[in-house]
Amino acid sequence: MHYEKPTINKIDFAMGSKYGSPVKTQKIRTNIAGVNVNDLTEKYGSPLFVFTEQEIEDKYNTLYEAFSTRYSDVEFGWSYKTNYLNEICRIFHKLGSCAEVVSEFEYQKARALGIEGKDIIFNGPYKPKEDLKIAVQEGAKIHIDHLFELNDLEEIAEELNIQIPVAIRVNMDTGIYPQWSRFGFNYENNEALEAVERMHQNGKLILNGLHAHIGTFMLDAKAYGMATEKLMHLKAIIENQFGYEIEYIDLGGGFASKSNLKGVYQSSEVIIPTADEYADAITNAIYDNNRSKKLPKLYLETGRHLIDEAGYLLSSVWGYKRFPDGKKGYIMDAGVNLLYTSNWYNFNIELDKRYEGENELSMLNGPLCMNIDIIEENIMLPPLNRGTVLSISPVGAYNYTQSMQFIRYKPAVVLIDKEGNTRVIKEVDDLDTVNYKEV
Amino acid sequence: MITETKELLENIIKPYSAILFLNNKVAGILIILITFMNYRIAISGMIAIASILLFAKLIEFKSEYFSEGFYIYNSLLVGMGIGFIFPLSYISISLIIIASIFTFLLSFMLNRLFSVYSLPILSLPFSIITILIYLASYKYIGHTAVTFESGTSFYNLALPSFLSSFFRSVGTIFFLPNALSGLLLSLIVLYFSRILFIIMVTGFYFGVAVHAVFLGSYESALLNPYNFNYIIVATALCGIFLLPTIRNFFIAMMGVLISVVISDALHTIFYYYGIPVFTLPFNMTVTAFIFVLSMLYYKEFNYNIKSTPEESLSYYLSNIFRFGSNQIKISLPFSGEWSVYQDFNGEWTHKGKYKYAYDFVKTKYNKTYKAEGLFLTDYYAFGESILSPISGYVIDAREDLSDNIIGEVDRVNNWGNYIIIKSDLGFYIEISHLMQYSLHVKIGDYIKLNQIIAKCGNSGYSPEPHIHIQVQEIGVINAFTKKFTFSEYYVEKQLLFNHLPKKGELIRNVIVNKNVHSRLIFILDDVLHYDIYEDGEKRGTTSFTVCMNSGGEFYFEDEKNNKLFFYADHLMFYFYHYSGENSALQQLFILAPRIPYIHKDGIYFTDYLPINLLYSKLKTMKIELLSTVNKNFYKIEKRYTYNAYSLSSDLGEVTFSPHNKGFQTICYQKTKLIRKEP
Amino acid sequence: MHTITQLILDNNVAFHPMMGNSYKLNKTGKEIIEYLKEGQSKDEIIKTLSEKYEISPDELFIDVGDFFAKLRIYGLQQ
Repeated sequence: MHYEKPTINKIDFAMGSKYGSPVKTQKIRTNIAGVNVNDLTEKYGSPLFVFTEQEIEDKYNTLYEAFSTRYSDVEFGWSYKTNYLNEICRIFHKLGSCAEVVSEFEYQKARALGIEGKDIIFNGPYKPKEDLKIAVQEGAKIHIDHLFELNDLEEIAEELNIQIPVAIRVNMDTGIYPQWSRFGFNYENNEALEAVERMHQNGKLILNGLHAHIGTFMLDAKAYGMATEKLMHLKAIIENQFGYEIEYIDLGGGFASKSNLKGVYQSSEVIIPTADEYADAITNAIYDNNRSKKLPKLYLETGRHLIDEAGYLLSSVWGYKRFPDGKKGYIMDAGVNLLYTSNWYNFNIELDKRYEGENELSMLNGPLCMNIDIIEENIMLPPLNRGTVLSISPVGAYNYTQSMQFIRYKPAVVLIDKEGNTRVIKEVDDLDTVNYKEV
Repeated sequence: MITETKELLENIIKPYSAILFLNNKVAGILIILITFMNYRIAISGMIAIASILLFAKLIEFKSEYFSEGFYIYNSLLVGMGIGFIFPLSYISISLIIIASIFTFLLSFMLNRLFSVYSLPILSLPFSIITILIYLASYKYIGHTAVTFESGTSFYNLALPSFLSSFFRSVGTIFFLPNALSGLLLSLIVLYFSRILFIIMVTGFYFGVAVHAVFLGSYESALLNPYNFNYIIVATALCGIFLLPTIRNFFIAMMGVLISVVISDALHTIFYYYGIPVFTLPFNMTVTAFIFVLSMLYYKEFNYNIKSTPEESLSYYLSNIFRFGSNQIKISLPFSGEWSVYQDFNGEWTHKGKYKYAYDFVKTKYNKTYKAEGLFLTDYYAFGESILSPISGYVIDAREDLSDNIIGEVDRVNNWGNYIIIKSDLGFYIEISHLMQYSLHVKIGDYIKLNQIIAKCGNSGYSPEPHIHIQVQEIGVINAFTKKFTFSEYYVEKQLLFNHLPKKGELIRNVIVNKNVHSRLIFILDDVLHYDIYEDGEKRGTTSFTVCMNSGGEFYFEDEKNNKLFFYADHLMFYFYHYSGENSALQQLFILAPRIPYIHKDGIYFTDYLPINLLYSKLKTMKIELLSTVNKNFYKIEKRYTYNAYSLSSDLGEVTFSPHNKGFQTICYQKTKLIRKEP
Repeated sequence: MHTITQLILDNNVAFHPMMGNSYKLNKTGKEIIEYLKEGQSKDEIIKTLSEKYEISPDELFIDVGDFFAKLRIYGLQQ
């Protein structure tokens, strides 16, 4: 005879929801890009990060087209900090991206992938001098964050007896809060202009670019318009006063993905700007504020927007309990150790198949013995079994790079290519991995 | 001083060719010479023209008005009419002056009245005044009897009567009722317009044939002095005021029949007083047809009368093939790849007065949603940007309705959240089912083409997120829809112009690139310099200068005064007319007939080339003639491939530079023009 | 036990007339309520179900225990 786990649920007539009945609707994902999720966990283990190449390409092409149809000279720099898995970086480079790195480790990773120095944008407030020197020698685009870095570069220029083409990072008021004023040189109080003047006086560095990275998960495309406008103004002033030719402007990253911010009622489709809105704001600002004969090249360092929705985390139910307050608590094999961004975002949790029974209020906990290891505090789920595979998304941005080596071995990562074939791009860690550098 | 004399000469010469519906100075001069066959006619005509020109100066009448020939040719005809019955004398000259001035006044008055109904006065003033003069002149001395048979037999030639009667009728139009003048005039017409000639002949013989049946006598029909009415009715209704097409040919013949009857009716009355009916049958028939057809916005009405029917037809066909004629054209309201959910006359909701509308959805792998499609957020269209399809003012909008969950629709507020935009060109566009609170603009804002105005939602009568768009005559919600077309969009790699996509078709919008646009903005006195290379060797230089004519039309002119006319609208740059000899400028038209403001590689599109640029004069004439029967003869397609910085076809290539305005290189056959700095 | 006996079962819905609440039950849940009304104990219920559906008593211990926990929360059981 067919057995169902016994369930009892109080009928509450007052419950209503924006998107469907809370007791009946189940969000189901049986496969990712055509590959069954249970097959994936069986073959590669659980928990498992899964990336789809098709989604990466689609997002890239959509964003690139939004910009390139409006503006003829645009290039994307893949932001390594968002996801520096080699295979992922390779996909972006194949699509036409250069690399954007913020540390010597990321720089080395890019070089190891065969990316030439001239195709690497080197950002960040902390650039050790030896690595800075290598970057200079290899022709990287260095975006100066502060005067100490400027001094370092001038020393390097002296040592190598060359003039170095550089860019400076600028921060400005773009009408949003918080203003990331601790990176780069400020525009409003002329700090940026003074830095350029300093550069000009010593003549060792040649300014050929301007960079601004105004925030992350930006919900207002107008802020980019303002940042672009101010950069273009600065460009005109610099070109006039110092005779430098600013060849490019870099508007950094920060485009939002379809991730649901905690504390925001509306779904991401409602609040986040589309690729067109970002493209419109930036390209219009360039055209409207251009005072030079040539239009500058436009660089963008988009990370999250391109990779987030292409990444999933498959996690299996290990067991469950009924808490004293009645909530069902599931123990998963992935927790905040792998989902650092759960601090700020509510993920989509999807079931591997349809389950019988009504939904009940549940909580998803990870494998750690820390009270804060909660992936989802309140979620309506049908009764799940041990071994149920949940798909958690979008997790492509930052979750892998920010995951902890804490209590559990870091999981494997699988890539589904455009033909639907799967392959491991990172294997599960083991004891050797953990012990590797211990003496 | 020179322009004044030029203008004066034009005002004297043009009316003569205008009587034959031609607009050519050479034709005019030839006709003047022909009028000297009867020096009385010739001189009377001249006096008439002189009188009104002087009178015009007296009352300080603006010379611009004379560009509408009817003021002068009516008086000219009056003058010739008087010269026909009066030998030259003080009496006749005074009569001419009086009559022509009166004709001038009457022309002006009638024109004011007729123009309310968009009607031309044709030669009505002439008919009226000349009848008055003839009536009055019974009391005056010195006039000879009116006979249209007068004219020396020397001019009658030895032709069979069925031929000579035709030529005589043609000559009668100029009060020269003899076969020689008619033959010469017909030759002039034949030279300048084959179509006009053929219609003249057909109109005449058809009218005569039918009249012969009614009269019961072939001879009397042939000898009827008012046959010339058939000639001018036919040409007016098929070639001049109506385009020279098959449909209009039948209309013209019908007009000829009507004028047969009117002619006879009027003749019966006028005979009593001994006055000819002049061109009254022509005026009455043609005016009636034009009145009705223009009121009905008849498709094949000639709204742009050019100097010959061939030119009018070419202009009309070019307009249809190249520019989608005068339809309302809008852009698509989205970006990226979308699919057509419902087109015009869609079975579901686009019916009756609401049939001219489109519904678009976004699809991936043939589905409009991911996962099960149970949630709004599963649908690809939900949340996508809606771009403005035109430039204009937002005149109405609503955004307070919530987006329906899947499975529910709002039948009370069908349109859901919507926006109504008034186009700069006067029509209205309505876009429906917007997302709640997603408007980026408010009522009263001016928005530009491609500007992001809202997000796609699921409000109103919408079972799944989609964009609904329609054009309306008036700017209120629920108004009836009007037919329109989409100015440009991509299907895969092909760029289509003035087209309507079909249900299920996958299409992409064209985003205008401001940089490309700015590289094709030319201002007066811009000069493009080129080195000319043939077979790799430098052979010379040339330069194209941007000029403007008195009509406000811009063109490139080279050293040999060849002119290439261009126009730039908000979507693309194009050439539309060329005058001159074979030259690189002429090739430029063929190599780059239009340049859309897009920055994309590997796109191709089709354009239709003006036949006179591709073929010899003879072949052009042949095609122009054939196009009256079937417009497809005029369609010469060429495929162009467009990359970011080049436009190429099997005829050659034009390249552009990202940093310079205009064309960088122009290559065709063995010739290559390379841009150089001055 | 008292309150359980007062439950009125109608198809898959249980109605408690005094408390005024309705509860949705699935097939097995309804069965357990019926056994409880008959006066069976937790262990007895587990044994009955184990034989009927051929599921191991260990697994049923968790499932039935979970069910009882919900009954406690709803105040239908001590």
